[in-house]
Amino acid sequence: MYRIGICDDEKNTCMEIEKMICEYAKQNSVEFTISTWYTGEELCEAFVETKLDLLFLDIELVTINGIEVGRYIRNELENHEIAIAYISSKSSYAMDLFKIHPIDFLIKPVRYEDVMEIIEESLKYYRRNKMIFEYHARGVYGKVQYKDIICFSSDNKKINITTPQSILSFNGRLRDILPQLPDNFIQIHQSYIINIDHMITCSYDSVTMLGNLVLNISQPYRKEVRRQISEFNWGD
Amino acid sequence: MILYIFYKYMRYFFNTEGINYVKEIIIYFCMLLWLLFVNPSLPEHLKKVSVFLIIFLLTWQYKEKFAKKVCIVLMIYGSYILCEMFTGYLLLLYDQYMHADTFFAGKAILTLFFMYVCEQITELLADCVKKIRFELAQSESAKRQAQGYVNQMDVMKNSEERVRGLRHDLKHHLNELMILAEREEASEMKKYIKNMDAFMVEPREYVSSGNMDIDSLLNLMMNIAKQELDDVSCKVSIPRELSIDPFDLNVILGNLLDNAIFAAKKTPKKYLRVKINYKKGMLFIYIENSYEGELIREGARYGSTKKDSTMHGLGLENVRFVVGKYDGNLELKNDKQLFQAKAVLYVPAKE
Repeated sequence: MYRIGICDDEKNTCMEIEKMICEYAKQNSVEFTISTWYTGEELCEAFVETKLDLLFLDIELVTINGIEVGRYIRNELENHEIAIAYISSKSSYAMDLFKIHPIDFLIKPVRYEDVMEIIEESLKYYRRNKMIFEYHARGVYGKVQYKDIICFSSDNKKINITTPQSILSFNGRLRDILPQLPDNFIQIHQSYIINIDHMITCSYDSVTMLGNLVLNISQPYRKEVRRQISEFNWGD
Repeated sequence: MILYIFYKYMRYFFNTEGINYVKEIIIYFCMLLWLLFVNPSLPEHLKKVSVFLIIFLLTWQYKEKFAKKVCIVLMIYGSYILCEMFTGYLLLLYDQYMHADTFFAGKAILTLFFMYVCEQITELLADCVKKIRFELAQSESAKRQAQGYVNQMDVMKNSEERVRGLRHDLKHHLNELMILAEREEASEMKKYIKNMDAFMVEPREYVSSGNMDIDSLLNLMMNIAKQELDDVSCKVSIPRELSIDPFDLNVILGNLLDNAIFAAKKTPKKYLRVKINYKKGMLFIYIENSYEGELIREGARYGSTKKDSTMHGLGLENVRFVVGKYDGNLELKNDKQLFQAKAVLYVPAKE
């Protein structure tokens, strides 16, 4: 079940978004569970036991604002999976907001098309995170969720999978696995394939991945990497 | 040696994107063989023709318009003939009774030398022309920037005045709302509040990202777009502290939007959509517009469909130049009735 949270101190905004989500669910015959909070404190407390996939979060919350809540989720709880969509009545944003890597911004008064777009984008993200990468080579069999893969790197005849917890390795070649990977995986180097979802920042010649892993984008791949990232950002 | 000079000429004047290097080397090698082994055995007047043909054949592998190729071949060949005549004349002046072998050797070396000098001069001149062209574009864009600022000042002043006006009448509005509330006329109240809201909104303010440079430019361009087109939308989500040179932004957005508005104007849909966002240290710009008719392509590049096409089409060149400054990428795509421009710029976040 896909879990959506809404946190805004204006009850009307919460209600409106909830209505729009229900509308979307009805039209596309999907099911969601929706939870609502009116303050940042309530949300942060509830977060200990509640798991969410998408959160609509007001920036201008009263005591703890949206940026702080975002920081708490990303840095303290180390939850990098949840998609956060910021709500605001202004369209002017501080740089700090962008460090939380929000999926998008909603401007009040909230429009149905915008909510719909955000749900669709986050569903796409959710579905690709559910998928599982399987490998078997020379009697070694293993599987790992794509969302846990920060990058693939090749080392001689071995492929290493870097996850937040550990490094798995099996025999194989990057070019054999590349075609089967979802489109958030791009090759940036003869021996690296990265997961864009786990990219923290990107410059033209290097990327910084989750866990401060810095990887070079080698010369022959640069142009293609730029193109793929741009395509990926704008969706289909 | 002479082939190397030809090669430099070609490299300079032709678009070398997407050329097969192996093929290129093979062609030059064949020409070298021809020059070394076949050419000397030809009679004098045929030699000249064969050099001309060689230059022409060399241009064959590059993707350019035929007329441009002919011009460039004539220019290279002209410089070759001139240099040869000039050196011949110089050597004759120097010593009329020179031995034939020394004369030819000297002539060959000096010709090469002069040709090299000629080639360097042409490159220099062409660079100058490019620079002048770019400066022209710069002044154009500076003008637009100033215009944008003036417009933005106007927009902000007006919007401020509207809010002040509303505040001035607030008591009256509250009274009115109170009366309606007492009578429990919800629909009347809704209408009244909507009116107040509409009064507050400045119609010329489409973008308010807080980033003055982007706002002023986009508001100016969107105003033009709204006048010319029917279906215009614009969504900007960027940090207000984004540090990007307003001049560069101007070149990119100004030119891309100019082109988009110009193309969309001529279609029945009159559609333009602009999206700008910032993610992970990258600024993404997306512009989509309706278009009709044929696009002129020159190799991998788009040409201009505007009337005085020598001056236009430069816009995109400038956009590419600026995008290149940020190590970025510009992609143009058209499918069916839509034209899309996607740009990525690397603009790291300031700590």
